[in-house]
Amino acid sequence: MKRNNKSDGTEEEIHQMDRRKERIHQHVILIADLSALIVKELKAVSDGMSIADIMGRFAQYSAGQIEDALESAIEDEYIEVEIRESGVRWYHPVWSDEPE
Amino acid sequence: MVEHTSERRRSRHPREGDDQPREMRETEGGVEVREHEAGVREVSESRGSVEHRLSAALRELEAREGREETISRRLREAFDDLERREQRRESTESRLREALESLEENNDIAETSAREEIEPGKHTIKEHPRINYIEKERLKEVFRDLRESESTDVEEISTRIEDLARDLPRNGERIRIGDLSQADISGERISNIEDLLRNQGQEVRESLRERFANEKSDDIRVGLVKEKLYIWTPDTSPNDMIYSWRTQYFYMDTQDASRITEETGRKLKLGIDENQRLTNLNDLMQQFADESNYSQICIKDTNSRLTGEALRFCRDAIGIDTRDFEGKVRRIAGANGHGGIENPKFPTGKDLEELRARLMGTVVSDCYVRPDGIVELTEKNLQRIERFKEETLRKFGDFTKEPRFSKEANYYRLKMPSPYGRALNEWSIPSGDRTILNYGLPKETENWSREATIAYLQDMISQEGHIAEGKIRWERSNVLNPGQKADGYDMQPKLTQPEIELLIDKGHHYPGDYDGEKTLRWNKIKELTHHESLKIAETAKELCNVINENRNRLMDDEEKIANRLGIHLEVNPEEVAVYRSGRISVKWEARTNDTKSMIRWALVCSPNHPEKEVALNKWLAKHDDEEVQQVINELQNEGFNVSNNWREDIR
Repeated sequence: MKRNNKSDGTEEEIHQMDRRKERIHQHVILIADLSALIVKELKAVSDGMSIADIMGRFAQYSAGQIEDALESAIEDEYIEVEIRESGVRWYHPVWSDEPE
Repeated sequence: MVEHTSERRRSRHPREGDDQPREMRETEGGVEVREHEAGVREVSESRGSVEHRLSAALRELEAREGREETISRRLREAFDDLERREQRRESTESRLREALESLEENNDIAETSAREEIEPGKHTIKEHPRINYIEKERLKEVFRDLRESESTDVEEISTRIEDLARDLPRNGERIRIGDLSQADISGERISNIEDLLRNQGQEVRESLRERFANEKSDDIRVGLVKEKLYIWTPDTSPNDMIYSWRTQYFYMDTQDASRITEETGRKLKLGIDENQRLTNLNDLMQQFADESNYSQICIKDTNSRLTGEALRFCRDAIGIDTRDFEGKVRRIAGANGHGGIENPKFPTGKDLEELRARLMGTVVSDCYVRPDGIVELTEKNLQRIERFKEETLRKFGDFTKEPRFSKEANYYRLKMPSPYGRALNEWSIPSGDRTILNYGLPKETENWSREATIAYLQDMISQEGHIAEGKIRWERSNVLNPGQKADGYDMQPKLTQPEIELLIDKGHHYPGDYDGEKTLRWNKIKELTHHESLKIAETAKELCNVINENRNRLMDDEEKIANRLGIHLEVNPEEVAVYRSGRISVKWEARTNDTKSMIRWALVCSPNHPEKEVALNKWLAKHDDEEVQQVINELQNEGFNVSNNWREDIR
């Protein structure tokens, strides 16, 4: 494919860039939606969940996706993580003082 | 913000316990009252005098029995005199009442027309309450039939509210108040109306919405508290951030929040003390609310909050400028109070329209508006993110979040707090996967100013655009089959199994694709419509039909707004992709279709992106001077602010 006199490369390279961008966009949506599911699940249990519990509950997702989703939920102040004496990461929802 | 000193300057009704006759004398009605007050004093003094004379006459009667006849006559005269004075006193009292009513009306008019200056702290805020008091005679006229009718139903009440709402003077008033106790309606009937508004308020509102359909505002709110009818016609312009954040919570210092609610309660005559006024204000807001889950105004010891909906009602009642809330509102957040925007700003009018356009241009391109309102941007150029933060996000308040870099994806991710997403929702940009929703631009874009249109295209092309082969181009996808996401979006698949099989069979597997994923280019699909196999040709034709019936709405609308700047585009399908989740999407491409359009784009709405801006300027710099100058002349004739010294400008 011929290279054009432009900053963005060949036509095919542009299509490749856009396909990649589309994938990233879908990944962002997947992580955000998974994060919402995990928060919902954590709110439904009284004592929080360990990372292993969460992995087990969302077995259809990869470990990387779950880690990303947990990190996102912590950043959004929906959940918090506690490192127990055993070294196990334990996740709890952050409850609001406000009437929701 | 709202200073109590205003109370000391405002005329009040003397029957409400006013002890400030000096202020009353400042009004025309006040002069009349003073005269009649004097009249009452005269009657009172004369009455004592007559009694004194009666006593004297009686004593004289006892002392001078021989002069009975004379004394009787004087007694009769004295009684006659007393009777006349009593009559005069009644007449005086009647005139006094009339004068007081007149004074009340004058005060009401004065309240709505005068701008009061109050000085809360360092800066002066001007008030212009947007309240209009319905005259007694008008209330009687409007409710005349209802007095005689036995039934009270939604349509009857809606008809009367419609009449009153249509009376609303066109000088900015948004709230009408009518005291139904003055409308010659029985207390029982007023209770019936109140019950109906409380129990069937949504039906009344819907009825009013139908009656005001196609008018500037079809949103009419009605409430009834303590026999007073309140009709609120709120501002529903997207160029108002308080409206755009009406579902959000505004956190303030308690002193400021209570001043606002207290001032509102006073202006609306919602009670005799602070607690009563706040309770009744909440009651009124509850009746105004869209749904039953109205969130109460919460005045706490240290930090108070009220919804944007309540705040904009208070704003209308007090009549202060939206910008005056800046510095008073500490934070805006969603219901759970987490996160949010610190020290929010409230741009208005054309400034807000342009900012909104800029924000939309970025969001509909590289952002995900989550269902919880948080907006996530993915972008690989850090300078572009900084520009976006500085030129757009910080115009709505403090923005301290930093982008996070994803090594695997080689992209930065920036999260915007939920108030951004909620405002976007109000501006018709929904939460969710836009490729599935396939929404177009909001209807308001049809009326955008040229500046807003330019701002949108500048930021959209910064995110989505490529400058290539003397063209500006960008791509957008929309889903034909949602795959695993079908349930969440209530979307039916558009493609049949034979069409899917054709895509997989004839599609190409690109580097980076997962197993089983295929992409079929549009040109290839068109070729397949002439395939020797009739079955393949027919399936390919069906596929073409489905694609053409499911155009990308955003891109079609973008083509329309670009046309308004004289930029002409070609919009065509580019390819169809099948993902392993079962999702199938069609990608569309828009590109400038002539050199003049490209020159126009470069001169009028150069990308707001450090690299793309340079790339486009480089292309323009290589271009023929004469052709560029010809476009400049055209643009100048059309009223665009374009300099002849373009080479200097793009350097």
